[in-house]
Amino acid sequence: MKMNPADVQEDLRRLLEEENIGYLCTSDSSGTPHIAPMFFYYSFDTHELFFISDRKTRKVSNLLEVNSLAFTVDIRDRENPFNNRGVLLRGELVKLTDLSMELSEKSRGALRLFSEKYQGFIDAKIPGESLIQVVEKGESAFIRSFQDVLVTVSIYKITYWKGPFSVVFDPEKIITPP
Amino acid sequence: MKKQLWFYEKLYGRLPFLSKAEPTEATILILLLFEMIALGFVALIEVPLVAILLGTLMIFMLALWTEVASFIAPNIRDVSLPRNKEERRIMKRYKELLFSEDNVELVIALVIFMGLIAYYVSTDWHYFIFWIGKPTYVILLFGLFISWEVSYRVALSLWTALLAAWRSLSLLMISRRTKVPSTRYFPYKDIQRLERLDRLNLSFALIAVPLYLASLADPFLNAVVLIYIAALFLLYAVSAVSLKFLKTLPRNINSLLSRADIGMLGLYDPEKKAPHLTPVAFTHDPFNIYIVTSVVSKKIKIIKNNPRACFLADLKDERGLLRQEAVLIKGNAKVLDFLESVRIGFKMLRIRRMFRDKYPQYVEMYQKEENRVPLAWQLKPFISRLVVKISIDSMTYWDKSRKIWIKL
Repeated sequence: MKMNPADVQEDLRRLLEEENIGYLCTSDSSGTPHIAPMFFYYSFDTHELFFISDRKTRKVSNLLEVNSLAFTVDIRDRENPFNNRGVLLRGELVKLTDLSMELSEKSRGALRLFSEKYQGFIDAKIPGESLIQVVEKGESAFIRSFQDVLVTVSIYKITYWKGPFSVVFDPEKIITPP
Repeated sequence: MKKQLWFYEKLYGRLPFLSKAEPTEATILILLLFEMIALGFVALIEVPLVAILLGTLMIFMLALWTEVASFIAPNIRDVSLPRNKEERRIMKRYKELLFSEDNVELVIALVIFMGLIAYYVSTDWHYFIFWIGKPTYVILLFGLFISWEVSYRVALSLWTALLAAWRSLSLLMISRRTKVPSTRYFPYKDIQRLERLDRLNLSFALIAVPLYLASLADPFLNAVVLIYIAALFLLYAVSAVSLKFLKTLPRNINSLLSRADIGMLGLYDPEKKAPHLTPVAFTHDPFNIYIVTSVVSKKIKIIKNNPRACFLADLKDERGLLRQEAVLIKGNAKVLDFLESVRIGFKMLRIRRMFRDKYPQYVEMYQKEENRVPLAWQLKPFISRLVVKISIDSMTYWDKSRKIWIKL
């Protein structure tokens, strides 16, 4: 049972684009890990991972102490362990962008893609305007508090597994979509 | 805050040659001192060999008791106070009573000692005469000194056991009264610690065996010693049973852990200075999470370098993102290798059975596909698969209240 590279590429893309929840693992300087379920957006253009968090949380304070992190997205099969599959991203913190400040074009772009991914969930929650419209207008309407930050992480290593088989590669090896 | 001390701790703290010594060194010094005094007496007067042996045994017993007590005291002082208000009140009171300024244990010791003397006098020192013939005043004084030392330790162990039983029962009653715990954080480690200290206190009863031998000559004293040992065991049982009921997981967390098929295990690799996160199959008991992994997995390598672990179990429901239920557990991981498994014996078999019960379909699948999967995934205990135990230090639980930024 060998993994077909094309299948791996396709499944990897599917996991990172379509799965809604990923798990973030950070650590403080004493080596105590911490896990948090997160909404996320993965950019296949820059191989950067984006998520939003309150600045006061453990995950952000951990990232300021130890700047590397692990991020796992997986699909579980109750009946067949050979169908359990997932991806482990390893990366480093690039920056924290304060969402209450004037945003750069790049941050705004990331936010736009982020909200596009979660639009389905958000539309039901906001009466009237959709979130995407708010972002397009350049307003910071979906900031819950002034503590919120956009976290940008650059990914340097990707592990994909399905059942007992796994493969490790550089993010650059992912074929960018046409 | 003023350090609370037991009477003997204060006393030893004041003796010039003991105050600077480590607890164990102090114990050895006391042992040698007592033994030297006793042997000095032996040189002066004729004492039967059996009395010398018994005396030495008693002195050893006293030294062991001192050693156990010097371990228990600082450990109880270290137990942190719970966050829950009522539990906090109980634990505070417990510590206050145990290390009270009035030294309650001293009062109990005096009562026992007085009773003992009254008994000696009423029986015309029969007990002493039995062992050493007609005693001189010096020997009597030494005998009384040893009797006092024994009384004090009997009092201390009884008082400690009584308070422990009261404390555990009170904690249990509180936990029964409050419905499903509303606390989000449970300092589990402390319950384990209390259990260990209770067991240690029980060792007072075991060390008291020489006391039983020494009192064989006198049916009344013999009966008193037996009652003492029985009382210690009884109080221990009350405390142990209460703690056992106390340590059952809150129902909602237990149910979540049973329903979740896969958990996330987070580790930190100090060599690569990077966190590591993988989904794992797991089972649990009230104090531990167990996972099974491959012998060659990175998890095993990391745990040997850094045992700190984080474990998250949640129910993934794509439709109910805002209604996620999750428990986050922090603790230490330990690889149950072959030697460790032999040590824990039947418990290991129970853990394996727990896995078979929770994942029957997985086990069946692996067995069917055995020749297709790499060795690392074949179900061969110790050769390819290892169990890792994560002891629960603390837990955080969310239910529906999870903060998600998207809520506008």
